[in-house]
Amino acid sequence: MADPEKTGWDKAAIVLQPVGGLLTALAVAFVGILGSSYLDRSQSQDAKLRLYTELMSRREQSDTALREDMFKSIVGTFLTPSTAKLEQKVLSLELLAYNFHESLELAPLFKHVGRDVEDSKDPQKVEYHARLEKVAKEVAGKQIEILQESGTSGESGIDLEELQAHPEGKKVFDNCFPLHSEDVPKVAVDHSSAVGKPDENRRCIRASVMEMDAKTQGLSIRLESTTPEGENVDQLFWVDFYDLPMVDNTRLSHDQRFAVVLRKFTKTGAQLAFVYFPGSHAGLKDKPFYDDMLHQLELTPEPGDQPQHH
Amino acid sequence: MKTPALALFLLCLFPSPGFAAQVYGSLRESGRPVGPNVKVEVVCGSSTYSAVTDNYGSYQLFAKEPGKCTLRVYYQNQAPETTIDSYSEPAHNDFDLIRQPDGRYQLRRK
Repeated sequence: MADPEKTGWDKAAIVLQPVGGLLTALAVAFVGILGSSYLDRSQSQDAKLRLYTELMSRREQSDTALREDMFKSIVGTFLTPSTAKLEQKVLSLELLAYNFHESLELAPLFKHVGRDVEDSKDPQKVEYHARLEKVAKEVAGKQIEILQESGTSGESGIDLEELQAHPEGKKVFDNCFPLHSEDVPKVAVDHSSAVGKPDENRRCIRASVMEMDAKTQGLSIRLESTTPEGENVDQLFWVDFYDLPMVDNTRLSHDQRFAVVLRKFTKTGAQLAFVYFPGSHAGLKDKPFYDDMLHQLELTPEPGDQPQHH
Repeated sequence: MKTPALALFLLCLFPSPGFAAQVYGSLRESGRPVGPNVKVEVVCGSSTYSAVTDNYGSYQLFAKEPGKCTLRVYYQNQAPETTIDSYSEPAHNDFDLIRQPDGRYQLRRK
């Protein structure tokens, strides 16, 4: 019995059967290589990240240990019986201010050392006083620079002779901002005009100088902040050269902060800086509230997500 | 004898600013600021001090006498008033303007 004649399809099937097997094997091999390469890359990245984290953690630990020792020895100068000379106290305060200004409220110490300098009969007391003022101004300036990168800042002057004629107080700042300082365009604040589009400026902040104290070179400030959501902050406080914005500021809603900084003070006038910044940049002493943290977590976009405006 | 009398006379003639301070705060109605140019008057004894609110319903004025004073608000053709204390330090007084069923406004401290 003769084989029926093979059609073109039969012949193609004979040829393609081994080719199909070969292609399947190739595809499996390709996927395997690709998968393996991806896993290798991922493991390598994980290893790098682990190493980086470990290095950072170790560096942080050694840095903390160093800072702890340094802190203890510097603070010891102020806490031990007053054997320390004025020069040593001023130097210790300079070291504290330059190294720990983000974590500590240094104003009480500045004032304490300032009083010691004032009461002393040291011939260098004028120089010591100038050094204290200089370090406070430098640190405040540095902090303003850091804070305005993630928020905004502006300056305003006040004529202190004019303030005497207005005992009810004199407004020195009146501006509206977005609810989150991160959304403020990175431009210098012109205190006479609002920043950004009007509908974005939902938090309006005002500051008035109520009183001045020429002896301590301080100004009494009334700070108000309102939002359409119902925030109604109205605070009265004194500000002098030793109040640093990172640690001495006013807490606003949505984990935002506002600080008033005294930059210059003369017999006739004073210069103030105003800084609006996110709470994440406040000093370490200023812990965020849990509900603010949870709110931030909810709003923080996952990597790869579209940027989200709050 | 003359010296204390002279000191007392000078004290009366030039009262120290330490004995006086600002009265400040904000006025709201139904949770919203009352708006600008609402007249606020504080009467302490025979002296009257006045100010107007800003765009946010905020006011501040300087009362020379410490003690009991009357704060009056001129709003919607009415003048509701209440008693406040003026101190030697700035005093914060926020008020809500509450509309009564008869249409009259009442000042309620926040």
